[in-house]
Amino acid sequence: MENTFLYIGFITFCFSTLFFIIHLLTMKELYGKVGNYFILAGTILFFFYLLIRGVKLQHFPVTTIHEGLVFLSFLLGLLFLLFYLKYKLKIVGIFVSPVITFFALISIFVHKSASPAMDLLQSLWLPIHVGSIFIGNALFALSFVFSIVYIIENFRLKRKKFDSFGKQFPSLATLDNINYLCIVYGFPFMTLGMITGAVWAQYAIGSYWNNDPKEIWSLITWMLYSAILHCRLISGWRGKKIAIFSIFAFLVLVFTFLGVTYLFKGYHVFRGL
Amino acid sequence: MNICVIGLSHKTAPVEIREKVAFSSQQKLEEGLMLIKKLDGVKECVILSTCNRVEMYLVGECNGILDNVVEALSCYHGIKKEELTPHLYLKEDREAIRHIFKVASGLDSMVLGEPQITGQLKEAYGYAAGKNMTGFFTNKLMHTAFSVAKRVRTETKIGSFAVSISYVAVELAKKIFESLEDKKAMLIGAGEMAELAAKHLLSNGIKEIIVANRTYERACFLANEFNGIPCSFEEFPEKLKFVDIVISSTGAPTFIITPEKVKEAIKARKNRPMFFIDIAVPRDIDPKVNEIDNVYVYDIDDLQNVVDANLLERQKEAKKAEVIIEEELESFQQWLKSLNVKPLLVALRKHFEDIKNIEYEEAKKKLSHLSEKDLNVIEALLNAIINKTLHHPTVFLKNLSTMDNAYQYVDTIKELFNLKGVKGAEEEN
Repeated sequence: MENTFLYIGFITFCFSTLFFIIHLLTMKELYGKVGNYFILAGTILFFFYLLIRGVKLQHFPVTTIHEGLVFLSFLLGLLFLLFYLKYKLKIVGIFVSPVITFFALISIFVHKSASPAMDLLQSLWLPIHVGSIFIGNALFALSFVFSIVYIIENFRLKRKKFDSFGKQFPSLATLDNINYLCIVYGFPFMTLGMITGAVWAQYAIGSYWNNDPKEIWSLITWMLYSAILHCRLISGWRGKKIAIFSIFAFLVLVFTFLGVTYLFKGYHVFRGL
Repeated sequence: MNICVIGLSHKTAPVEIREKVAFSSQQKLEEGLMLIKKLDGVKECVILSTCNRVEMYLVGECNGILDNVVEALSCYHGIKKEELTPHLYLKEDREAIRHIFKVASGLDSMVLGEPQITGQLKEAYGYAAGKNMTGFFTNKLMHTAFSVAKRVRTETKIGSFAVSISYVAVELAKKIFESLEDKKAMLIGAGEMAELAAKHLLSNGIKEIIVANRTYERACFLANEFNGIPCSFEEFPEKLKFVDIVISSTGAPTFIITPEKVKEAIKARKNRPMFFIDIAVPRDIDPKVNEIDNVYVYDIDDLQNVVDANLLERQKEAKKAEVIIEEELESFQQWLKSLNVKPLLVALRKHFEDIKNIEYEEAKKKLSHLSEKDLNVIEALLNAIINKTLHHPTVFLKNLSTMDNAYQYVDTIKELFNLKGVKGAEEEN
């Protein structure tokens, strides 16, 4: 039953990407709007998938990498739509929908049916710890997307390259501002996620810090994002420098999320790999 | 009944001719309308007179109308016929309708796709309608033209590409800052284009404008005009850090804004972006300034390139607009054809005669005892009934084309007598 939601949701995200590509080729805004509706539909479908799975498992469904990716896709869709409504971002969906589709695709590749979890995960800490980390990750992923759009747009304005495609881009000020918002909201979530993780570890394992690779790399990522905020707020960095920094920080984040899981051993690995 | 356009535009006539033929005041326009309406065969008439075109949209019998119009125009404007004729064009029927649709949508304008012309046409039509110069056909024609113009505007992007230097500057500023509402600008030097750019920035919400000039009096004068703050020429580098947009247009022989100065300013501004518009030739702003992060420099050539690129985009959109116009032209033609009652009359009469013939032949078989003469009387009687029956409908249908709901009558009659196959006259030909 829940798999129907997963697969239809994935196909819906594929359609959103498809419609954005058509938008890109035909320059007709209607297709972009349809693309946004597909993102909305996919986000809702993924929500129901997670809901049903969560009820079945009796815990917050983020314990396998599959569930994690579905949850991330869901959050990305949701957050993008919120930004879209707030800032009327016409064309940015072109960049966001492939990212969601990509995560959804991997989630399907590593899909395994639900199995009962260890006792460790039957805890209220799980949704708080993993949930806030994921909200942070999704916001940072959006910051990454907006940074890329900023770099492209900045290049075009500096090199004076114009065509009807670029006309639809948001302004540099908007892109920079949204990038800032993503990080400034993402950072407390990530911080909260790390603190709750430490507290949970204290209860469950008896130590706040266990030198787990995921813990170390998370701390590195956290420090990078705090450096970005510092540069912006204290040193007055803006625009291109911040965009490049955000892209770099997100690549490190992806490594923390996926790379560490596959390369190192530790208790933070997703189950069922 | 024909529709025709007689006129001249920036494409066919130089300004010396256009200004002579223009109906430049309401008084003249009224006189012009009177003059044209009086001509033989003209039933309805609208005159559009702008600085780029003078056109008459006429409905009536258009044979030989051109000579009459030339005569009337040359008389009224005191211009020789030979001088006028080579610049005039006459378009009839399909061509005329297409032309009117194009004019209404701005496709025939000097600046492709400019929107003012639709308003001017609305005004011209409103004026003619107010003077009772319009009628059934012009009403429908003009309203269709306005809806075509609206379709072109909403279904293509023809109006969304800025095609003047100052508009492009404003668009670029919005691309950098999003909103100009809390932004400050500085105008260094003066000049028509720079002042126009400043005006556009102001009308797009710029909060404050600082005006610097080599002569302080001139700075004060311009500041007064823009509701801004005057500033002496020596002071302006100090003030750079306070402004987001700089329009420079001085006669200085060398660069007056150097990377060093801008770097200083941008540092003091904590990297808030700056947009430099360099309209001066030779240039005022060192192009190296563009290499500084968060600083964007556009000189006159850059802006002109954007204008050219946008014009190309407008031409692409104009192609799409022409497709819309052809569609609308087709449906307008269909409507016109539906008004043509001749084939309907023929079909109606044939319908009755067919019935008569069948019934008469049937009856003749039973009336073999009657003489040839008697039979002729009967046939004459039947014909008379048909003629009398069809007399009023025929007269009514012939006058139909002047009524607003003519096509409804045509449809009803077709329906009543099952004459579905009746086509318009042109198709028959």
